[in-house]
Amino acid sequence: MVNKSIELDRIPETPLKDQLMRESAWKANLDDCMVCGKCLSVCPLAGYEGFDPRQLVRLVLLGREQEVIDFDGIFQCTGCDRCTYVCPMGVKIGNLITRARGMRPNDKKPGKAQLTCELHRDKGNNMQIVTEEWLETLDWMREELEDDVPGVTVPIDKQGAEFFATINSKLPQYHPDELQDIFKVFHAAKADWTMPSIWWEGTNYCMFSGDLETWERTLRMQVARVEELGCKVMAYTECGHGYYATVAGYEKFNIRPKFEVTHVVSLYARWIREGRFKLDPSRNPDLCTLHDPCNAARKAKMNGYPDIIDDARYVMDAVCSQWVESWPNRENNICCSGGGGALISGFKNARMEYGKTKVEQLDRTGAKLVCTPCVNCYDGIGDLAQHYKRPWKPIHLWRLLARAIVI
Amino acid sequence: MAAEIELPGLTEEVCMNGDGDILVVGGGVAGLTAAETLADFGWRVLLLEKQGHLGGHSHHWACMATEACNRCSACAVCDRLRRVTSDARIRIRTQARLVTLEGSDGAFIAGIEPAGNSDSVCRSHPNFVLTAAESVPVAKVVLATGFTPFDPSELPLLNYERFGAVMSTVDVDDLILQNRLTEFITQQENRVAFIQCVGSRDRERGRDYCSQFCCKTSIRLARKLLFERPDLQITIYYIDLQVNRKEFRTFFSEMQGKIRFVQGTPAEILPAEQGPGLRVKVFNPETNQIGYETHDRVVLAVGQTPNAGTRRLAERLNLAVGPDGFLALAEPGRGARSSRPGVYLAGACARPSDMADSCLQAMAVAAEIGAPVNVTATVRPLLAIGSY
Repeated sequence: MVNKSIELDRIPETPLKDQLMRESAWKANLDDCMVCGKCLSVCPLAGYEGFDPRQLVRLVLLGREQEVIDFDGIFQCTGCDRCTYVCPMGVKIGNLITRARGMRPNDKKPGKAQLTCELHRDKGNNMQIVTEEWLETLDWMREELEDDVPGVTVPIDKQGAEFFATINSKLPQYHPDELQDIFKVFHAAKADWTMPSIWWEGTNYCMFSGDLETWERTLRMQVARVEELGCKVMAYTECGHGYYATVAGYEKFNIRPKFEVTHVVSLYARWIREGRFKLDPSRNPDLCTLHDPCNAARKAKMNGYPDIIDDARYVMDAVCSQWVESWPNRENNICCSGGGGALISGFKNARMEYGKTKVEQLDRTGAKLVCTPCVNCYDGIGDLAQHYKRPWKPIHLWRLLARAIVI
Repeated sequence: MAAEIELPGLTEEVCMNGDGDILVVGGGVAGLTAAETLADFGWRVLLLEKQGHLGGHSHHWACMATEACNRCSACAVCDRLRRVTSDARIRIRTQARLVTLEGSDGAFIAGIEPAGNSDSVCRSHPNFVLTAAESVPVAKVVLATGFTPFDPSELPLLNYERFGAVMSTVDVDDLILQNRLTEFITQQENRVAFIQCVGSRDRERGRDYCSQFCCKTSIRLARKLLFERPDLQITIYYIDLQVNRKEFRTFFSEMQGKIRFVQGTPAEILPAEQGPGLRVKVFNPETNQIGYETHDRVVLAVGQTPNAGTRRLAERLNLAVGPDGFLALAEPGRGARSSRPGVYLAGACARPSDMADSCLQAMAVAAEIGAPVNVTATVRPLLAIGSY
């Protein structure tokens, strides 16, 4: 990747560089790079098959952006943005990666990176779940829950409800039982909420495939649905990138919704503070640790959006008998190795290789459960546990909370 | 020469009035130099020091001599101290601070009071301690309040507080000063790394400046360590080396074969995969690949930051502070005047400076103030200490 010379007599077209230099929403400050190497020292992927974030910056600056666009490493990147976080000069390598992915023709994007966005756009969710099937799943889960939580309801498309809940489509598809935890939490909090029959998707992979057009379109479709129902708050349930793609996307595409977006972890904390739940932490006896999802922690914080760093800890204190911090944590945390669309791009070997530091970090905690308030992190950490045969396993925060709630 | 220097608003009365004609705040290497030079010009000087000792950071700086002097300037402060403490024209007050500054250029009234810290007092000069508040008329004020070394615990990924094997250049210097360098590393260990620019050159965290001295400090420390333990394998991770005086270049060239210099400064220090030691991810110039390197000790070359009290001081004295948090010069690069006429800045309170630069800046302040009117000065030749 590095051994070609630059032809000085030919000035290349550099659309990627131009976007990163000129578009205010995507400004990457590439020319401020002083080659200090901090980015590569904190990057889980750096060193794997020649991936070097610092080199990507140089290549784009030198007009060799095509080499970056054609390089599969940009799709192996988990988008954790540690590089951007430690950069002393504010170079936004994350922006570079997103826009470089967007420059790759759709049919040349690896794995399901692009397909996922198109399904989201065409079907309202990326798992192609039709409304009938969705409503059946909701009802089936509600019925099963009724034994434990008598009188539990799941209001569908309730006009004027305070909270509009989003759901990561992996839940109905692969872990429908986890829906019960969410129902139980909203029910016990006596929240005025609704589950939409369409545009409930709580992910947005367009941010990861770099498909800005579809990203904006899907956001606008969902905004229209929330406004149609007249909800005051979009309660973004545990999906880090979906939350970030929403709040950051609204700003990037200048979308001004008539409602607020709140990460559900902040709602848990608010409801606990208000004394809405009777909690019994002894129902979560196993030693637990907390994984801060990159998107809802570091990326939200450094870009000025509400993060869940403190709220997640407040909830952990209330619902677990015992839990320990992992290190590094909070905005310095290490990626689960499943972020950035890496889970759907089909680079499992790469993920397992650069997940090693995550494994070491979790091993040092001695915990049995790794609480991840993010469906992607849940799968990322689950894959690492399975691959490296580790004694810990992931768990969502809604499950810890739902277990602790005494009805 | 002195006749050509303009002395705005300075009158004979002021010169002959009061207990001290010029107030110098800060008894580090810059303040000592300013006091000494101004006294040589014929001024009477009141020198304030917040601590119980004079000398500032330079007083705690260990001599870096190996088989020969490495010109670190640490000893120069001793000469200055001897001369300042024995000069009848310089009145010294330790554990004292400047609280208010009324009036204007040529006719200030400085309010000084005991600093109220419990720092131990210099045994040779216990009578220097200020015991009661005073109001002192002064013509000019020189601020030389110095800096604070960067606290690496502000960068959690470096794990400074977590791992005993991660130290700062200040910590290693303290070991040398206390003659405990053998405790730095055990006989079984020999891999040492220095990381440059810790707390410097960080625009995102408000420190968009080079601290000027840390590259030279690390190279001298490395040489001192090698002198004690020739078997050490020392790596210096740098962004770009600021070894910018010609005398230092020779020293640097000599060290190039003995120390491994690697471009790129890791931002995260991890424990070794197994056993003791620390890991950093870097671009290895020998293999042309990114990978982990393991070291037994990692030394963080900390930069200079403004004192925590700089903003409060600036508010009390009505002075401007720069975006970097240091006191602001009225015209950077053109004199040592602060934003308030009659108040001058010397040394690291205005910009990161090494010892030699601090001395030169203090002398420049004295030259800018010039000699008092109607006083025959006994001028000693200006002498910069240390040549780099």
